[in-house]
Amino acid sequence: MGGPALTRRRLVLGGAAGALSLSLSACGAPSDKTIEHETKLEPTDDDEILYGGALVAEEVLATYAVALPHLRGTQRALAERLQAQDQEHVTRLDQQLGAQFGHLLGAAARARQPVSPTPPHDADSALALLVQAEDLAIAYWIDSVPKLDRNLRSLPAAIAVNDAQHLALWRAQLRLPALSSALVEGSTT
Amino acid sequence: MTGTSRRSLLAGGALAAGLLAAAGAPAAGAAPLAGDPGLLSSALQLERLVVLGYEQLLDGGWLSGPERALARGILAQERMHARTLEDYMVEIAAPRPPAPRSAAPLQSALPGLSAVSDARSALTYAAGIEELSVYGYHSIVGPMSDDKLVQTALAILCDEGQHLAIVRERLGLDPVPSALTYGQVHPTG
Repeated sequence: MGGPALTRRRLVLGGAAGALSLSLSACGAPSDKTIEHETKLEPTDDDEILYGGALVAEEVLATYAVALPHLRGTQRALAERLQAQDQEHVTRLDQQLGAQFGHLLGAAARARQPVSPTPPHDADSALALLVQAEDLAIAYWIDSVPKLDRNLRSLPAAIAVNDAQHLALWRAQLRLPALSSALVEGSTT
Repeated sequence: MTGTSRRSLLAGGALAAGLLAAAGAPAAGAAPLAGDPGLLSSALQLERLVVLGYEQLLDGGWLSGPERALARGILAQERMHARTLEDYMVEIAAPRPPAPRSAAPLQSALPGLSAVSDARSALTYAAGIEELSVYGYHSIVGPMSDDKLVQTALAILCDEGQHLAIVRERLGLDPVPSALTYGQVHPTG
């Protein structure tokens, strides 16, 4: 399956909604779990998952683009640094798609589906938007990494951890607890 | 299975064996666990060592004020990780490894605890603990089979990454020096 055949909405919303429906919170509530047999999520093609991850990362980048004009000083400098890291996520995912599946059209397909988050109106709403974007990216990977071939999980896991680190830093900037949960699952809301 | 995935599995197995050995488990005569139970067991041992490490740092009296509050908050989350993993092991009827009786195995895996003498060196050691944790969890997310277990391990991994970023920030270091966070066994700061 090639990237251009996919729709951004299907991937982003599908993955994010999946993250919600997985009841990962059950990890802390053993009575809800049954793993007498291995738990298996609905299978998804590896290339579709990686392409979806690149779409989510592009959405995060678009959020940084609308947030940056509202940030000043150290917050702006931090945003520029973390934006560059999110750009690297897109680049590395594209590289992996190319190397593993020969997909070279992913970036072009995404360019035809521009993302434009609602612009914030001040610094705090810009920070809140960044928290939401990083949360969404984490939720996508929490949902998707188990569905990936074991050989392909390393890069997405390293990206998810980095997104979680971004989330903690932005929460701190918003004067929220940086370490909000022992299980960082992301959020789609 | 590809050569790379075989390498991933071997790496995961080596890590599991190393951690178990470092923690003094399994008990004499007990066979090492294979598959998800083995990976769970090594993750649990890692968490127990991390808990011991933070307890030692707090008991040492080097941390006060916001740094002590941070360490206590992280310790609470590490204990939650350990409980979550233990619940899983109970659920799948996997034998739990004996708890390490001292922090000596941690010193073996991460030398320097005995050299801690002030708040900065305590936080530096904490950063090392988190690097080790991130590395450990990243190593087992690939080989794991059960999807919900992968999700739990990734959610814990993301939390360890957040700990690392916040501790590095308190040390005045770049909290997120790389776009891809893999952790490391022998942190260099």
